[in-house]
Amino acid sequence: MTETAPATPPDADLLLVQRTLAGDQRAFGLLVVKYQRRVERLIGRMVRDSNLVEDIAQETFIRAYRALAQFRGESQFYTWLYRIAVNTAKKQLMELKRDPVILMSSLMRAEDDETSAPELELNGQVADAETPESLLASKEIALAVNAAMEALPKELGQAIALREIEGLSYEEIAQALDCPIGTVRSRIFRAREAISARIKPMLERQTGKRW
Amino acid sequence: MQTKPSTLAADSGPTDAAPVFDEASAPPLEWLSALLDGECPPERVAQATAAHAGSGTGAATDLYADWSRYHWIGEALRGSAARPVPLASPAFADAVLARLAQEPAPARSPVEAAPAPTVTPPQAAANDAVFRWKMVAGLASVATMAALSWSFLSGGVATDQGQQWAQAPAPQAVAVSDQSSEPAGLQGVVTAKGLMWRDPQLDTLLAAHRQHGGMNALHVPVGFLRNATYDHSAP
Repeated sequence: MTETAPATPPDADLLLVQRTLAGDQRAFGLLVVKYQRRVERLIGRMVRDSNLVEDIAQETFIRAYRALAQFRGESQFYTWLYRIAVNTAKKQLMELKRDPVILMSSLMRAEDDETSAPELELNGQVADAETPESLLASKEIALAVNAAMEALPKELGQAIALREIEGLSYEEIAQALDCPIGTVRSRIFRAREAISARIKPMLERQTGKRW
Repeated sequence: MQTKPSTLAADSGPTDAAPVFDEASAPPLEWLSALLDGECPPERVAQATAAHAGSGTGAATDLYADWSRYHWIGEALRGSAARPVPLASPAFADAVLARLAQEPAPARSPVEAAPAPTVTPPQAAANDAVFRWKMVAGLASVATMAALSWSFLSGGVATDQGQQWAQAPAPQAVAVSDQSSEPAGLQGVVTAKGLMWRDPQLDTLLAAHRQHGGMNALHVPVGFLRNATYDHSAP
């Protein structure tokens, strides 16, 4: 099964944008965390150097922060962010006077990047900081998530499955489980906390970072 | 339906049927979880971003870690175990925000003022030409009436003036000392308004034909007006 993210309601991103404009920088940090990997994957298709990828990704978010007032929610936040990322990468490349090697590859590898920007590859592999060891560790963590899900109490497992896998709204889940929306919200939260508690030590061992 | 609010610590096991959860008592992380699903009310977003706020210097990192973990759990549940999803790094967000600390706060979009009410010129009506002619005709009628009224009043005044003349004391025939300046056949008469040369024959004619004394502004004899104004017999 391919990686498919539930369609993030644009309202959530817009709420975070509005919260940022109200002076809450932590709200913008949540947007950064949410879209960091997607932006890095996008830039990685244009730039060889993985260190430069991270620098350009940072610069992308900086520029997005400065122009945040111009985001009106008429399009999805990532669509808006995507354009900034592409322009930032191009600008950086021009400044560095580098000529990226452009290899047209199958558009099937574009994943969730919905534009027609050509993919840039180096030696047939997308520039990525992941190593085989980290990829293996991530796979093990993914298996642990599924195991933790199986161990959840029935009502918690039902709630999070209907949300994350089926993509139902809270209201739809409430109707399906015949319970209030507040109950649905609480059950999903507790399911996530239960799974997080199981995988957190594994994450810290893998990355050596604080999770 | 139970009214006892439940907490995270108390619900590690199977829950009771349909407990009622008080929104006000929901922990900030619960709102963060709801925000991820797009189910967080706008008024609760501040609570969500304030999660771990009292946890010291690593509070923001803890917030980002929870947020990243929640996202990743969903990705892992939807994705294949054979294709792991790389985790976002909270340290990256920390680095970005550290740079943003040097930046001024993003300016709010200016309040879009309501467009000034445009005064549109009234469109010409289909019957504007007819209306204009009607206005001209109306004004002409008013002017005509005004003229007629003025002539009426003027004729009355003239008649009044004739009455005043009639009522005025008979001009005294005053012998003019200088006979040489007197026109032939005319008699100088000193009146209240000055010396007046009068022709005796003309006076006789006017006295015999008093009906011609009242003339209107149009110099058209108007029978009833003449009769109406002639109501005074000269002394």
